Amino acid sequence: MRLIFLVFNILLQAQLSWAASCCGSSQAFPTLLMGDEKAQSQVSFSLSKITDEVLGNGKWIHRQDQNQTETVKVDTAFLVTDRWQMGVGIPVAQKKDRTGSDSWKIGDASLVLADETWPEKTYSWWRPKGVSFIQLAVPTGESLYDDSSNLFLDTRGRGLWTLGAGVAFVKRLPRWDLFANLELHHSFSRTAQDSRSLTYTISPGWGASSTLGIGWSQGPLRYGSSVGFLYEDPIEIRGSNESRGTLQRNMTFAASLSYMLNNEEGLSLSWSNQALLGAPVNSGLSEAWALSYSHRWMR
Amino acid sequence: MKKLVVLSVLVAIASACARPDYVSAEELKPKIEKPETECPYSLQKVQLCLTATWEETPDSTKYNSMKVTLIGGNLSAFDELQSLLWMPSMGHGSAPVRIEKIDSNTYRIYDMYFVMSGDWEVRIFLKKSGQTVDQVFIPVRLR
Repeated sequence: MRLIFLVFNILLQAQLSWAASCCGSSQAFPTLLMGDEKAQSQVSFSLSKITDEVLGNGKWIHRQDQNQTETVKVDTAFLVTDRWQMGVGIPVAQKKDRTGSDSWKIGDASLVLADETWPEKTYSWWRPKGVSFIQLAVPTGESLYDDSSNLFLDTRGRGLWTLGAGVAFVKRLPRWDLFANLELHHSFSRTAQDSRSLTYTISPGWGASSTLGIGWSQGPLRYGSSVGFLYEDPIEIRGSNESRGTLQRNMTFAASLSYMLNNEEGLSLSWSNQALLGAPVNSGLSEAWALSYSHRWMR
Repeated sequence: MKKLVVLSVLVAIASACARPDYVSAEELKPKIEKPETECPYSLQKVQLCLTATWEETPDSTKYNSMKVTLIGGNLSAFDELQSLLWMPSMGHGSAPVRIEKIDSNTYRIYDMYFVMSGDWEVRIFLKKSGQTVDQVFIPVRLR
């Protein structure tokens, strides 16, 4: 038992978590209510840097420039009925790189509609609470397809409408909590213009993401960790310019320390790194620190 | 049994660790010139050959430039040369380049700014009366 504790503790020191002790992992999915709240809101500030670029053939190139992105994100979730809930997430970001720095601009917003499909009505030591959801990513942020400066300094989003559906589960035990989610999504085609002002069609495809996490609480403190996986189909380009694209794949490894200020408010510091796990392909791998404050309103 | 579980967890974690395979300095050297052939890039539709030379080693941290020469007797097959930078794996371009005609068959493409490291293509289009008559893609890997 001590060995298991030691292993998890090592992991928790080195990886992620999002929530604070009393409310389990409710903040793992800030646009979803996973506990007994009627509403919750989270404000987070993150600082991220792309450390490596991984090519389509899996080769790595270490980034040596001074790129940095600061993001403030507000996530809110609230009950619509006893069973249905909605969530909204809006990021605002500022980017800096070798060409200079840009002002704060909005990124891609996300809207979530969720159903408490698997409620915890009776005590079970093993059965988790589960929520199914659909999620819409709205391309409110300027993307690399419509970059006005042409230097990508002002890009904040993917530039694609994306509709997804998934499930999220949480299991709380006296000291431990576990959370997991699985989501599938499809991004829709659109057109854009190349640097010669000629039109081409962008055809993305399907994608998936998943997260597995664990937390351990002691009083108002919670240590946590999680591993996330992302996959995106190749983005095919047709028209004035053509390319078949390469699939994108990466994993995120994260750790966090959270502190509950009281029964309704919590602070969390988290660290994540995409260069530690898996076999990434066609991805910019980033390292990020995030500080968040969350407030919840109980039913 | 517990030790076996712990060992299994440790093995699973270790096997999931990323194994970065970094591009070597040799792989980052531009390989656009093929001095062993007389026609490094063949434009078969217009029956021309294209040679390209970077003015300095290309790098994603600065503006780059290259000199392009078209060889062959069919220079009247096009009346305009266009170029853009393209990252095929991610499906996006970069800032517009500028082109200067040096003489009847030599062009200088400059202000070439690659917005990130990785595998890019310098896409060159030959046009006649506004229509693309031939094109060539020159690959380049950038730090």
